[in-house]
Amino acid sequence: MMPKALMIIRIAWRSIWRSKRRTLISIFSIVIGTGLPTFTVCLGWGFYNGLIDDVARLMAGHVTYEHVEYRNSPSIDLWVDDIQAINSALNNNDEVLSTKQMVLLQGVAHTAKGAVGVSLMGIEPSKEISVSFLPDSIVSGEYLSQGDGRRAIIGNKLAERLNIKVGKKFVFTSNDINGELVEDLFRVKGIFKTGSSAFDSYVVQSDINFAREVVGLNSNATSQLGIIVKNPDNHDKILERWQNELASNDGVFLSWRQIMPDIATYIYMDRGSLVIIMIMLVILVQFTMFSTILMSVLERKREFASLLAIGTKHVELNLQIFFETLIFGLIACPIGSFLGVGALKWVEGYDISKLIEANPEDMSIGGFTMDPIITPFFSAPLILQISIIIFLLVLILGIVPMFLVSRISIVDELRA
Amino acid sequence: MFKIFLVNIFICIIFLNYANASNLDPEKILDEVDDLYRSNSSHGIITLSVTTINWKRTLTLEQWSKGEDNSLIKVLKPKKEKGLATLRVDKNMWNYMPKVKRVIKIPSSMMSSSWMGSHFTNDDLVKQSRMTEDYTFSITFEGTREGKDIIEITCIPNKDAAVVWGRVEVIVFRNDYIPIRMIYYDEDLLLSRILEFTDIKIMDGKMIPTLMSMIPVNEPDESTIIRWEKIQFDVSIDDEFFSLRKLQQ
Repeated sequence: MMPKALMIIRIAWRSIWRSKRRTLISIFSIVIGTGLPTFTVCLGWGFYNGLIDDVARLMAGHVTYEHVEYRNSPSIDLWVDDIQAINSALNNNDEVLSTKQMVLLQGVAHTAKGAVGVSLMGIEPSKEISVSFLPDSIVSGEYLSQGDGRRAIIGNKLAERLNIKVGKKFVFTSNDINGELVEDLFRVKGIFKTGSSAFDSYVVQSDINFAREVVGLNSNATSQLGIIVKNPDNHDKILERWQNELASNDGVFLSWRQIMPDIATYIYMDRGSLVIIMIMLVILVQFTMFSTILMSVLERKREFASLLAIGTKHVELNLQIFFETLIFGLIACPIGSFLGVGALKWVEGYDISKLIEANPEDMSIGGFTMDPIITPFFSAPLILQISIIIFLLVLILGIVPMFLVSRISIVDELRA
Repeated sequence: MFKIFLVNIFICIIFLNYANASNLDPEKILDEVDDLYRSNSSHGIITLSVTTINWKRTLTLEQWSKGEDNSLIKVLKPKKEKGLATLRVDKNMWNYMPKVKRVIKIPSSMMSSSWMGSHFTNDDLVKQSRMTEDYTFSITFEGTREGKDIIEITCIPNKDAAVVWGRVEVIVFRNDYIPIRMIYYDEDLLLSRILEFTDIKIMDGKMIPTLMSMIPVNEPDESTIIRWEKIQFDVSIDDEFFSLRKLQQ
């Protein structure tokens, strides 16, 4: 049996190279069918992962620990206690890259020019410098450092609206933990520009200890504890474990998807539409592949009839067609994957906003700007998955020609 | 000898003038300005006229206040806005909307919003700070200006005081410390807004300016004018009067 199978494989190999042009067209269509999804999916996944990571690092991490009621009513009187013990336990965890404590206050920033509603984030400057991109977005002045007290950084759009510069003051009014109105003076230490209009015109950052002081929180309490994990894909499983091991009665660990549902929904929808477009594209390419494979069989009908006439079995002919298709797939799918990865390597680091002539504001999602620098998601399992799917589809395409061969009328074909 | 006598007289005049100036206590003057419309309690009728580039409207309001912490203001006219009310207790503020029969607590995020469409914000109403606490002050002019015998006190905000201004000039009549004008400058010492006090009358035995005009400098065609039509001081009002129940009545 084995030598026969080898012989069929040899015949299949020879047969596909009898018509080089036909074979090259078939292989080319499979290469395109594999390379294009590889390129697009890895590019899209790269953007999504970059956005998730940027937002997680800028805001409340991949996993967030907060008061169980905070999602329903994000106010300062819903804080989580005993945060230093939880923080310390998480920082000793191998799965955690970093943690960040945040006190979040909603209020109004006033200057003599006017008043604007803002969100004040009390943060740990040393942590932010190591995890967030915001310190690199400073366009005037400096980023915060530990013990900065009433010094704050604001977005460039907010600075324009309040008509303030570095060194100038503004008064921030908010509610303290008892619901009483409190106000305090802040001085601008730096002005940042992220490109997101919503973020740059709304967010103020100051040292967490001063923010705590303003609203009357003790040093062991915070609005949110953001956790940056080493492997974001695995964060759902981790947070369940932490919920059981670390959370207090009124604290809950949540995924970034629950903290930022706008971005999660956008990514879900966009990823879905990308997959649909890819499926349509693959179907179109498959038609090309199907027609070339089908033609390769149909133009050899007389040859197949002769083989059948001299005693070749139908199953052997079917096996030959199967092996021909298999060889097409085995050659073309890896080439397609390599070409897709090569194209990704070629565009990696390119600023896409130059290509589409877009402002950073045009590329913001849920108030956060996508990084315009192309950073593809090179994942061997993902690339392999795409390649295997296309390979299997190619094999499925071989079924119809096999079926046609099995219905060949020897007499009619030899007479023709 | 005569020359020495003249020099002595001259020195005495200068000394007397100096003594007169040093008798003036700017802290007392600022406190009097702060307490001008405050009393143990008060009840009055106010006309609020707001002029903007696009519209103009006039409201008649009834107001009650007790101490520095409690006040209630209700719209009497026009008819379509009658019943609209604002209650302030300590640093908390509520609005009552009669059309929807709802009481809304003003959160900190709405403190920057305009109060009744005027150039005053909700925050202006809630602010209870005293100038003597937030500013370092000194008399910078004393004498006659524009035919009025005035005192000018210049207030510079304390380093960490929650004040948006860079400087405030308070100009009062020298004889009774009734304010004439308060001039607000921003941090770059550019003129920001002017609060004018005019039409001084005796009301319920107290001399007060009955007309207060707020003119934002960057919008000179706009203004908010508050006129006290009637005011009674030290009236008897229970603390319970300043309640959400009363706000809705």
